[in-house]
Amino acid sequence: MAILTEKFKVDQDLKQDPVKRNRRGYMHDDDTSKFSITIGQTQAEIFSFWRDFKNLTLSMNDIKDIRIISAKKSHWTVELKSGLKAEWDAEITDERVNEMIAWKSTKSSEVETSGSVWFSPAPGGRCTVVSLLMDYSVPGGKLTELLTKITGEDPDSLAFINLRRLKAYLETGEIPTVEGQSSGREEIEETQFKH
Amino acid sequence: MKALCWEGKHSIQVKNVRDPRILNPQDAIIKVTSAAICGSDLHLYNGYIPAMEKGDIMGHETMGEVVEIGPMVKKINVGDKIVIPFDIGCGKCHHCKDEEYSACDNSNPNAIVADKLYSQAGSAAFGFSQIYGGYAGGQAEYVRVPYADTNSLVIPAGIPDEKVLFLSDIFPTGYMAGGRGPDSCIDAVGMEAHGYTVTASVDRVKATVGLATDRPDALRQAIQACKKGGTVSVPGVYGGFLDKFPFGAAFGKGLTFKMGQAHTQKYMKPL
Repeated sequence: MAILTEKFKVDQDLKQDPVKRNRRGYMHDDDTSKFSITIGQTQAEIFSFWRDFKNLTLSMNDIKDIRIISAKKSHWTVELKSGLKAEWDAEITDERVNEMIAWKSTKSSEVETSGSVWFSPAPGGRCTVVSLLMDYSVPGGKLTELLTKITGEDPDSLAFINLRRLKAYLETGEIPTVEGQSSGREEIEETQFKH
Repeated sequence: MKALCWEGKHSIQVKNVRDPRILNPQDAIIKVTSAAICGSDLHLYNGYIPAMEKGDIMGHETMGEVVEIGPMVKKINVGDKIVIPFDIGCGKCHHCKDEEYSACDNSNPNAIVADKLYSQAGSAAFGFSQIYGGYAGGQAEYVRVPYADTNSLVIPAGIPDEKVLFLSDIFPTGYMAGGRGPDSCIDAVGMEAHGYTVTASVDRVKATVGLATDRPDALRQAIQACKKGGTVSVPGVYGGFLDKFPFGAAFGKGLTFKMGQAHTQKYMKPL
């Protein structure tokens, strides 16, 4: 019982602290994801790339537009391959230079989301670990969530894929793709040689 | 162009398809002069490697002439004759910098699948299923090579194709697996061993009904045949789960295992 009380206290404590709350995902009981990836650049380089939110449209294909409203506020538009579109205003709730950025959607937004990204030194001097924590509720509710999960466009998969894209973009300057390549799925009548 | 397409288990067809295009700034387009068929192409043909998609272009042992380069390609030029390694490295990540190209972090656009299956995704490869990135292969008249500066070895004029083509895979693969000398035992067969032992028959039945994926009879024999303290070298390909694996013998004899997709780019030049 003592242990339970102790745990309850910790939970209450976390609910009060927005940073810790983000870390543990307390906005909703269920929809929390945490992903980490090691990127071959310094904390400062990655932090300044991320903090200039417009850069994220370069490395994360699904983010169609980010409009900066003020130093703390920005407007996000995400459109998935399946056609699902979502927009929201996000507000920075906390940030520490080269270490972390935390944000939350504003009350008027159709999407309820909050998250934080952390930049910490990787072991063995292997540059920087980027950890992304997100809470969300998907527009359209449970059914949409199920459908996006089936198509691999649920927020968890997207977070993972987008972190990998960010890594590829920062390390190599491009995002690997096979979209638009030749395949037997598009057979043509006559071959045409360019060369 | 004409390309060899995987149309399903035991069905490979030559089809007319669109020519490849430059899709990323570090891409190059190669006019293929020679391409080889690998033993592991048989795993695809026989339907053992999961996640092949109908229409995927086959082939990962390829060489040819550069006909087009992207704006960020710096080390090769149009007109160069190059051999292309089967595995695709980005050249910039931690693993590529350590010359572990087949462990590249960045080249595989479908890494999420392999990450879930193997906990960490390896590099992409040409013509080797969606798990390995789904890149169109080189058994075609043209092939697109991503990160072309890293994934090419320029061949001086006057050297015939057949002298250098095998630098694309099997020569570096055999070399890296380290199966040389009297202390090594080699399994170059991989997941589709045709054994005549009782366990081999069990493997076949299990694979048929889907209880196991790979048939490791050659690997079992290599473990049994290897001398104490020796090295079992595995250039043969495995993809899934093994059954009746004699790990007790491997432990008891203190064996070393050397295996994996080769870091082709590292060995092409010295070889």
